[in-house]
Amino acid sequence: MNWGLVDVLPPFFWPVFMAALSICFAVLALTRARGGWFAPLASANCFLIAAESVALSHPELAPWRAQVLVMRVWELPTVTGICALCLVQAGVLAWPRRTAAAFGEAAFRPRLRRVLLAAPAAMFSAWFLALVGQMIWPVPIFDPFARMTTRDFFVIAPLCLPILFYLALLSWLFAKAAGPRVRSLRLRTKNVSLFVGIFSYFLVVVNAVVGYGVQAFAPDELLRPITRAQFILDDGLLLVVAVALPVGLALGSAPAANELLLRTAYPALLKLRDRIEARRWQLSGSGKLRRLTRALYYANGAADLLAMSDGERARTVAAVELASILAYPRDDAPEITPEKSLQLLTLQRDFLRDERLAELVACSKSLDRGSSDNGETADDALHDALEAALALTNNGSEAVVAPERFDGAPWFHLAAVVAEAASIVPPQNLRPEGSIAELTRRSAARAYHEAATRAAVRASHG
Amino acid sequence: MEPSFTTPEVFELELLELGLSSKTFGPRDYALALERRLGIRIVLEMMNDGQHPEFLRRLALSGRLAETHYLPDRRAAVVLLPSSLPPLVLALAALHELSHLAAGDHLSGSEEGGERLARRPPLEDEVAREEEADGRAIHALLAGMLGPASPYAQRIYDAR
Repeated sequence: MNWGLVDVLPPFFWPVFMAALSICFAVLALTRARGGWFAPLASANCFLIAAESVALSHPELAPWRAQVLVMRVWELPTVTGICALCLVQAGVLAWPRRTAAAFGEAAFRPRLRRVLLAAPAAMFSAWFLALVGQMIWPVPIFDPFARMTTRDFFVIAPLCLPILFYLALLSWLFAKAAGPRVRSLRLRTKNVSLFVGIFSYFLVVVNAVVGYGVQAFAPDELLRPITRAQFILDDGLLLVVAVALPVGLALGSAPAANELLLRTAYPALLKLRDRIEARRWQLSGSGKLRRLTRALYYANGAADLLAMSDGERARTVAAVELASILAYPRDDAPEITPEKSLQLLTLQRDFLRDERLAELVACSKSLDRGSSDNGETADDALHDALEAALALTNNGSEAVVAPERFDGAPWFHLAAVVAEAASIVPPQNLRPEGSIAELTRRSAARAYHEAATRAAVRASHG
Repeated sequence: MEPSFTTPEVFELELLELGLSSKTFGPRDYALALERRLGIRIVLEMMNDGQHPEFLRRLALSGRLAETHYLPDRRAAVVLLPSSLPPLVLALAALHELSHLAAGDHLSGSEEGGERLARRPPLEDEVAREEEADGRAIHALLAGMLGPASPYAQRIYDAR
């Protein structure tokens, strides 16, 4: 790390910049917004880099072994940070406020995960060996223009290989994660930024290793020009790192569906709805709903006369069947009770407040795809039928069920007529209120009796 | 001790392995991906109520919603589903049966062995297996509906 030694940037740039970053991360570590290990580690790292850049300007202040010791200690947070990044990608360490989960490619490649898990052992071993080697054969590490022997080069250069390997591996992982497999543009941009940042840091380390080679093997007249060119490259790359990594981290998560609802309310809603619908299907399919066969047959005829759509017919049938189950609670249908029905309606109403999720899940569900092709909201017969059944059986709570909204709905009034004809509920439950409701009910009743008469005539003719 | 069931995060990793992560998909797509991964043929057969009334009645009386027949000698699984099931129940019933295949429940007790998608072996308790399959079905339905908007799918490539 040879900052502050060239004229491209003012000498105080890196110390001040890194000190400011260190303070920012320290403040971040103290807030509740970003708990965990990342902010303190980043703060320590930035502080040490700031101190390093000051010390590099005054190499004469420390003897060689002290320089080696200080340099290796300064490297420790960087090595720790890269190790932590590898462990996060392997899924054994969590980012702050996140659950641990393996990242992209590492998720289902056991060998890759093992390699990532080996990062701390490999990198800390290399760090320790570099410390021991340079304490035995010290070099003026703060002076980038000092000569190195071939032995000094072979002590330090191979020990940079683990860190180079893991930086290259992390760069590859983030480059893959920025590919077309990730659909969110924001997430791709973020992964591109992190790839650029980590790959630039990889190049910084390559530049440092090349620098050791120059110190060991370059002719005297080329040592200074090459080293100066390397400083310029180093500053440029570090500037990219300093911009790309914060940008990547600042991009945050891509907008996604509300996770709290997704983890709690929606599974509960799906389970409840599935159980209610499945039990209704089983009771209806096994012929256990007595007195309904004939009434529903006439109801179908009445629906023809009233020119009802398939959705309206489905609502009528479901409302009558549910009203039958609610009116005569069954031991084999504990899933369908007024309480659970109201719970489902409440959950559904709460859930639909989240517009994004509501839009995503209101699409039709079939065996072929998750959402409908045309993106239209599916006809939700169950919701209406359940409300109607609760209203017919006088179980509606005003907060959830508003029977007056069915006033002009022929399917509801046909369900009421069928329920009365099948003696499912007493007639006093079913009196329509208001002129529109009365008119609609009368026409539904006429259609039902007409259908019953026609069926009787057909039966008498053979 | 209470068995620990598959979390949405772990399920998303399985979807990644199947190539379905961040995509919208339905039970048929899941079955196809599972077919490729497990190396068995999976048939989702819709049983028309008019043609097979006895099947519908038997299933309804038994309290089940679908049936899976695993044929080890043919390396095939046939899932029978009544066509009259409501759409949500149909999707969840199909995914429930496929979840048993993913978890490797069809292999327990079998000497021939075979592939499973889940990393851990099938649960021993029958009730727990059913609960696990229910949970997996709901994870699959949500992931299939949300596709790229699923927070679990995004987190796999979200390094933050």
